Amino acid sequence: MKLIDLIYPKNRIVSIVGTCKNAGKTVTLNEIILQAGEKGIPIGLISTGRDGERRDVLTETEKPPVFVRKGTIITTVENAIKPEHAGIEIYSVTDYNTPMGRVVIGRVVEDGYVEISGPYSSRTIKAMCEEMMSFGAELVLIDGSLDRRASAAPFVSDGTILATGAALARSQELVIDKTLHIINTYSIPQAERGEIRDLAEGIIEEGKTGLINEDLSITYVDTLTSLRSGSLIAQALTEDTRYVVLSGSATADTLKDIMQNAKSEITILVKDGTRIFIPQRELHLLQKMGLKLNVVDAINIIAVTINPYSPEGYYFDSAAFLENMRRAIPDIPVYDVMQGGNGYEY
Amino acid sequence: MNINNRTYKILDIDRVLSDLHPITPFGIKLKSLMKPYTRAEEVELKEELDRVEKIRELVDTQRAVFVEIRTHMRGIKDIRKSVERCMEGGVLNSVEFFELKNLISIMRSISQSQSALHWKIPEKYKVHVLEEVEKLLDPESCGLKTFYIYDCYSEALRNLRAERTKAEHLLEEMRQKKARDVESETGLKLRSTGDITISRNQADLIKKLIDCPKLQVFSETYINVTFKVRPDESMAQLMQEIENLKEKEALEEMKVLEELSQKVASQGQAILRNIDAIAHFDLLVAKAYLAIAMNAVKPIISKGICCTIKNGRHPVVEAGLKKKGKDFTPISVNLQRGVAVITGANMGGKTVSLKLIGLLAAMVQYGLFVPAGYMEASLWDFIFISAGDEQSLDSGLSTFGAEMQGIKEMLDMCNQRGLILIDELARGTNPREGYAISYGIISYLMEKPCITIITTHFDGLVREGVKHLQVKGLRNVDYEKLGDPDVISQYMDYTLIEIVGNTGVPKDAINISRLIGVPEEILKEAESILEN
Repeated sequence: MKLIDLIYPKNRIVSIVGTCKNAGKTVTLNEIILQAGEKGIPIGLISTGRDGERRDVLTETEKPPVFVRKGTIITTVENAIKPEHAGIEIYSVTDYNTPMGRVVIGRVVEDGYVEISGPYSSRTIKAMCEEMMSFGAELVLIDGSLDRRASAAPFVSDGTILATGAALARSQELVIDKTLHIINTYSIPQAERGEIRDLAEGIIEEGKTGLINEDLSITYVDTLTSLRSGSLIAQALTEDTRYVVLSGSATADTLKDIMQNAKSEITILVKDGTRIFIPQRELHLLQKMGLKLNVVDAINIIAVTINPYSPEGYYFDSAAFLENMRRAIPDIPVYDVMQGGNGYEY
Repeated sequence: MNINNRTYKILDIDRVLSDLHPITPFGIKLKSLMKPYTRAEEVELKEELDRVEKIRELVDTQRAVFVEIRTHMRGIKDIRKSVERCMEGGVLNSVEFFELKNLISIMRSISQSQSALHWKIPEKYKVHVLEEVEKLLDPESCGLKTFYIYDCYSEALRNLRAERTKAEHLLEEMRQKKARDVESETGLKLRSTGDITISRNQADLIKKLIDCPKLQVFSETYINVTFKVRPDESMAQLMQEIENLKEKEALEEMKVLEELSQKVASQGQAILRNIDAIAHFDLLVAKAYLAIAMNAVKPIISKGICCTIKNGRHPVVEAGLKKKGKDFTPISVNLQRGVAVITGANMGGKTVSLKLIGLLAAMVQYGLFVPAGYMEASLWDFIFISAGDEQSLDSGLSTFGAEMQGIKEMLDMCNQRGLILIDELARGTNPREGYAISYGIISYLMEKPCITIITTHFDGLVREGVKHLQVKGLRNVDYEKLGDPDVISQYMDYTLIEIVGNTGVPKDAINISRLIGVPEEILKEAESILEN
C-alpha cells in the first residue's frame, strides 16, 4: 500500500511533523505531493509559521521551494510571489502579517516551484486549511515546523505523518526509543466517558484549570501563574476529585505535585498529546506512581517515515533500521523515504 | 472652536467618540481627523445634522440595505498607499492588484446598494462604479475576484506562455519515452519523476546502470545510488530553451505590471474620490447608528447665547448605571447668557450635571445627536471645564494652584463666546478667601458673552443677576429609614430646580456623614457647633 492510500480519502487535512531537524520531513512532503499528483488528487499546501521575526526571516529563506503541479492551492507570503517562480493566481489576501509580507492564498497556474508559508497560530492555520478546501483542495498538507508540533493537534489536522531519522540520536536504539516516546505521548488514550470529555472540553475552552468531581460538578482552581500551578491544584484536591483538567501543558512537575497529593484515584486530562511535555524517564516514574493520563482528542498518527542518514555524517543500515522500527511500532505503518519508490510499499 | 485637552478628557468626549464605529479603514481615518465645527461653520453643521437625521430615518425604513452596505464595507482594506504609490509612478505587484480589484468590486456593490436608498445622495457621499478600472483588472470579464497576470494583457506574453507550454510538453514526452526505453532495456520500473534508487548491495546492477548511456547518477549516499534519465542533446537544448522562455516571460510579466500600473494611475483620482466618498458615507452612517443606540435627538442650533436641555442624559454615566440595572435621572436646564450657580447636597450629582451640559454641548459641535428629549444651544468659540480636583504634580502645583492656572487660561479667552463650567470653585483653599475669589470671578464673568455654570457649597454667591439652580437632593426623605449608604443614590433626586429668591445652601453634609457611618459623637458635636 502506498503512503497516499493510507492518507486519502480518509483524512482531508494532514500534518507532517518531524522529531528533529533533518528527519526527512521535506522529503516526505515531496513524496506525498508526488503521489497525490499521480492520483490526480487536488491538494492544498500550507506551512506553520514561526514566531520571532529574526529567526523567521533567516529560516524562511532557507526553506527550499516545493515543486507543485498546476492547480495546487497554496498558502504563501506576498514577497514569495516572484516572477521566476510558478505563476500564482491570487485568491485571497489575509490580514495575517509575517516579516515576508502578508499571508496569501492562491492557485498555482503552471507546474513549478513555489514557496509555502503560513500563519503561526493553530487556530488561524485551521481556518486557512478550510479556506483552501473551499477553493477546491481535496487534501490539505500542513508542513509543520519543528517548534510547532501543535499542527498535529487533532483540532487542526485529521491525521499526522511523523518523520523521524538518524539525526535524532547517534544509535538506532536511541532513535527508536525517542521516537517511540513521542508516539506514546501522542497516543495517550482518550477519556472513555463522553460526558467527561464534554466537561473537560468546556474547561479547556475557557482556558481554566478544573477538577471534575464524583457527582460531575466542577471545581475551578485559580492557577494564574501556571509555572507552579501543581501545588495550587494539589491544595484543591478532595476525596471527591476524579479528574484534573489542565488547559495548558502537562509538565512533569505539575503532575508530580498532583500525584503526591491525590486523595483518591484521579485521572489527569489534557486537550491532546501535543500538550504533554514530559521526558520519558519521568513519565515512567509517574506511571509507576499510578498516573492515569488521558486526552480529550486523540491524535491519529497515519504513518511514520524514517531517514537513515544524519547530516553529521553517520548513517544506519537502512534495511535493519526499517525492520527494527516496524517491529517497535507494529500498529503504525513505517516507510523509508530515502529509498526512493521502493520504500513506500508497505 | 477651542476645547483644551483637560476639558476634552474631563468631559469624556473620547469615550463618546469611541462608541462611534465607522467600519472601513477610510471611515476610521476620517473619524480620527474629526474636529468640532466652528461658529463660522454653522451652515455646514446644520447640513450635517440634517444628513444624520436623514440616515437615521432611512435606517428605520430600509434597514436591510444598510445591513447589506455594512457587510460590503467590512471587506474593505486600506490600500490607499498602493493607489498613491501607483499615481506617483510606482509599479504595483500582483497582490496589490488583487486587493485593488477587490476594492473596486466592493465599490460596485456599495454603489448598487446606495442607489436602492430613497435618498438623493450628495456627491460627496456617493460611491461610483469604476468601470474603467474594472475592465483593466478583469480583462476577460469573467467576474472572478481573483487576480493573475492574464494572457490577454499582452500578445507577447500569450505567445511566450504557449511556446513554453508546448516545449514543456514535448520535453515531458521525450522524457517519458526515454524512461520507457530504459525500463524495457533494464527490466526495472522507474518512478514517475524518471528516477530509480538502487541499494549498494546490488553492486552488479549499479555497475550495469552506470554503463547505461540513457541513465546518469543523480545522487549517491552510503547505501544507495539514485539514477535519473539522462537527457540527450535535443532534450538539453529544449531545457535551455524553456529556461530562456521563462526568463522572457518574467520580463514580459514585469512589463505588463508596469503598463497596468500606469493605466490604473490614470484612474487614480477617480479611485481616491471613491475612497473619500466611502469614508464620508461610512462616518455619516456611524453617526446615525450612534444616535439610534443613544436614543438621541437632533439638537437645534440657536442664534442667541443659550443652552436649553430637556431630560438630558450623560451617555457614559448612563451606560455605567445600565450595567448595574439602574436608570439615569434625566437633567433639564435652561440657561442664558450670564452666570448660574448650582448648589445642593453632596452626592447630589452636581458634577455629573455640569459634565453633562459640557459634553452635550461638545457633541453638538462634533455634529452628533444628543442623548436628551430636546436640546437647543448656541455654538461656542470655546468650552471650558474646571473640575477643581486635579493636582498638577508635573509642575509642582497644588490643587488650588492648578485650578487657578486653568481659570486664568479661561479668563484669557472669555471675550469670545464660551461655555464655562466650574466645579466647586476655589474649594482647595481657605473658605474665606475662596469665597471672596469666587465672588470676584462671578462678577467678572457676568459681563462676558458666555454662559458660566459654577457648583459651590459657599453661601452668599447667589445674588441679583445670578441664576440659582439646586439639586433636589435628599429632601423629604426619612433618614432613619435609609440605613445603608449604598442606597443613598436610589433616594437622591438629581433634578435641578430653579430657586427664586434668596435661599441658603442646603445642609445635607451631616446627614450624609451619618448615613455613611461617621461616629455619632463627632456628628453630635458638629450639630451643636452649628446651633451656636
